[in-house]
Formats: sequence, C-alpha cells, structure tokens
Amino acid sequence: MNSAPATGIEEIPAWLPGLLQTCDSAYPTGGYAHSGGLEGLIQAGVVRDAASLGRHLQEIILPALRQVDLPLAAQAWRALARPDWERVGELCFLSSALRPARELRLAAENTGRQRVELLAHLHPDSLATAFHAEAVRGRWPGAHPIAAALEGRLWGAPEQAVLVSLGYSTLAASLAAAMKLLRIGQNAAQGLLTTALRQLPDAIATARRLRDPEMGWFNPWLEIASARHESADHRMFIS
Amino acid sequence: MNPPTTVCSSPNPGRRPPRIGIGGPVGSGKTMLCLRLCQALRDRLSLGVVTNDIYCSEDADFLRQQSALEPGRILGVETGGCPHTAIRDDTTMNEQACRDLETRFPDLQLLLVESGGDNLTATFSPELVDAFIYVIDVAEGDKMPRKGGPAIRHSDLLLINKIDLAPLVGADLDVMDRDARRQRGTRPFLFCDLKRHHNLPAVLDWIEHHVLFATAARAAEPPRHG
Repeated sequence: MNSAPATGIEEIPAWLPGLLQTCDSAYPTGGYAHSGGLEGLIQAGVVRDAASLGRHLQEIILPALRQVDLPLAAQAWRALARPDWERVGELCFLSSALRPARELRLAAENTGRQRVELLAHLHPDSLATAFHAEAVRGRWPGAHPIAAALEGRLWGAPEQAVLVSLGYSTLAASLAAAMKLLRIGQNAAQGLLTTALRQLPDAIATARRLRDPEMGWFNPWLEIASARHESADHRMFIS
Repeated sequence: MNPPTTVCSSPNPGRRPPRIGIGGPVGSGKTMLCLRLCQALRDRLSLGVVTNDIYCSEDADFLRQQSALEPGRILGVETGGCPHTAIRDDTTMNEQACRDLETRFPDLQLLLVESGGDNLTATFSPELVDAFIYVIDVAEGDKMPRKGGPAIRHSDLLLINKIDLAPLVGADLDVMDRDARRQRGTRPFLFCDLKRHHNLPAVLDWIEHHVLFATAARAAEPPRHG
C-alpha cells in the first residue's frame, strides 16, 4: 500500500518523481487562488515591497510552517504508517482549529480536500482511497498538511522529504502570489525564495520535535488582515 | 448557422446536471448571455450559475440584482489568477462551487459556468463542463474570428454578439461570417444582439438539442464496462 514504484535508476529515490509531481504548479490543488493572507497584509500596508515581503517570509510564513503545517504533516506521516485513523482524524481537526481566521482555515480545508480527492483518483485502491473513505465517514475537515503527508506515504517518501516538499511548496506559492500583488520581479522573488529555503531545515528540525500542546502560532497582523480581507470590495485571491 | 454537432462529452453523464461553460473577452456579453438564459429557462428548468471574476463579484452581483435566479443559486468565484487557469488548468475552485450548488439544489437540471474575461486561448476543461460557448462581439473588430485560436475554433458554439453596433464601429459582418466559417468548419456560430434578444431562440434551441437532449440520451445508455 505504501510501496513506491521502481524508477529503474538506482541512484534516484523512487519517491522523488512523485513528490516533484505534487510540488508542481500544474498539480491541480486550487492553491493558486489563495495568497495565504498576503493580499490582506498588502491591503493593510504591512507588506509593500521586496524588503517587507522578505520580512513576511521570515516573520510569518516560516514560523507558521514551523509551528503548524510542518508538525502536523510530520505527525500525520507517522500516524499513516500503521495507519492510525483515529489519530489522523484528530490531526485534521487540529489543523482547522489552529487557524483562527476563517479565510485561512477554509483555504487549508479546501486545498486539503482537493488533494485527497485527487490522490484517490490517481491512486485507486490505495491508502488514498482508504483515507478518503475514513474522512467521509468521520466528517474530517480537509487539511492540506495532512494531505501532504498522505502524498508522501503513497510515494514511500521519508518524513524529512515530505516536510521539505511541503515547506518549499508553501514558500513558492507565497512568492507566486506576491508577484501578482506587488511590483516585484521574478529574479527578486527567486532571491527571497533562496534565502527562505536556507532557513527551512531549521524550521523542519524544530517541527519534527513538537508535541501537540506545543503546536500553534498566532500573529495578530495576519489574523486581522485576513478577517478584513474576507469582506474586501476588491480582491484577487480567495484568502 | 452551420450544421450542428452533438456535444456533451461529460465523463459522468447522468451523474450530475449538464454544465455549460461560457467564455469570452471582457465586455463581450457573457453575463448578458447568462441573464438571458436564466430568464428564458428558469420557469421550466432548475438552474444554477457560477461566475468567475478575478478581483470582485461584479458578475454575480449583477445577476442577483437583475433577479436572474434566486440569490442562492448564483455563486461568484474570485479566482486569483488568469481566468483560463480557473476553467482549464486547475478547475478546483469552480468544481467546488459547482458541487456546492449541486449539493444545495439536488434538483438542478442545468449549470452555467461563466468564465472571467480572457483572451482567445481560453478554453474550458472537459472535466469541468460538458459544452462550451464562446462569446465575442463586433466592437472588438471584425478581425476577431480571423485571429482564430482554440476558443474561436473549438468552442462548441461561437456567438458573435452586439451586431447592432457593427455600423457604428465599422465592423463588416460578412467578413466575420466568412472568417468564422473558415476557422470553425462545421462547428456552429451565431450572430446575436443578446441585449435585445436577437437570435436568442437559436441559442436556446442549440442548448436544448445539443446539451440537454444529448445529456439525457447519454445518461439513458447502458453503462460501459471494461
């Protein structure tokens, strides 16, 4: 169920193509419609140029990854080994509970649901279809970090690789949204991504050690901006 | 109108109501088409509309203000990307909106999915809709059909709208007719003035025969195995 197909090339991990597929912007998860709160922060004037965007990555995106999405994905990856469905369901509910702003909560739920449905479509009779059935039965909310762990399990990817993939996807998506919202060029965006990726291993190391009571992170700027964004007259992103 | 072809190639015929995608450049008359279709069909069909806007919910608001349908049957999706992304490359947001309407209104018989205004490359994913109407208008210039592209060539029905403006903007309808035939072969196209209902019956007839009837016929087919 968790075995990965052979690549035929010994040096390349069999799980790598699968994780590349799930990181690709063409992978249809609906993620492009969300800015993760960035548009709200831009409307509030908190993020306005490359420098403040860099601070946004350092002070909001990376800490949120470290304290919420990465530990949830790590815990889910472990729970899916047996699989312990009770624990997986608990983590799905926890994923929603850790997001106070409605927009951010719905974004994680909707993209998570889509990822699981897509996995169940792409991998019939697999751990994904069992997950989908359990989620429907237990009325679990969608949870995109849990879906990322499921993707990793399906491809046989190790925990660290799953977390790197999730971290990279989140940072890259933030910058893709930023390029639509701010006057920032592609090279500057890649520079910010390169800097942020250097800090990702530390965030992952911390996230892997966190227990449930230690999870969670709150930034009033982000939550208030997201709440205001929900009723904004004009907006480009759903969150 | 050219000889019609039967469309509706839904992967799940009969398992959900048929969906028609409506695409076209900004201001060509997509929302007016939605309004006219709702007005013409709402008394005999259970309808829903999903609109796409990048920045706002202008089109959904317009349809609600015009009382096209009861407000709950109109959903606005703010796509956050180029409209063609939301209707072709990653249709998640629209699929979720369609399913939301289908869940809330189990009696739905037809769902319209109006794209945000886009360029000539915009086409709908066949996994999202069963048929695709592309709307252009004469004020964009009579060269529009000649420019071709996937939407002009391959939409299931092409509407050339606002023909009342042709003399005012110097658009030659004969040229548009000639070029549309050349680009589309046997695929149908219609000249319309949707605001004044001109040729609306022909659009309704096309929907009746080539979407609603085709869907019902396919749903009645025995299931395929293997």
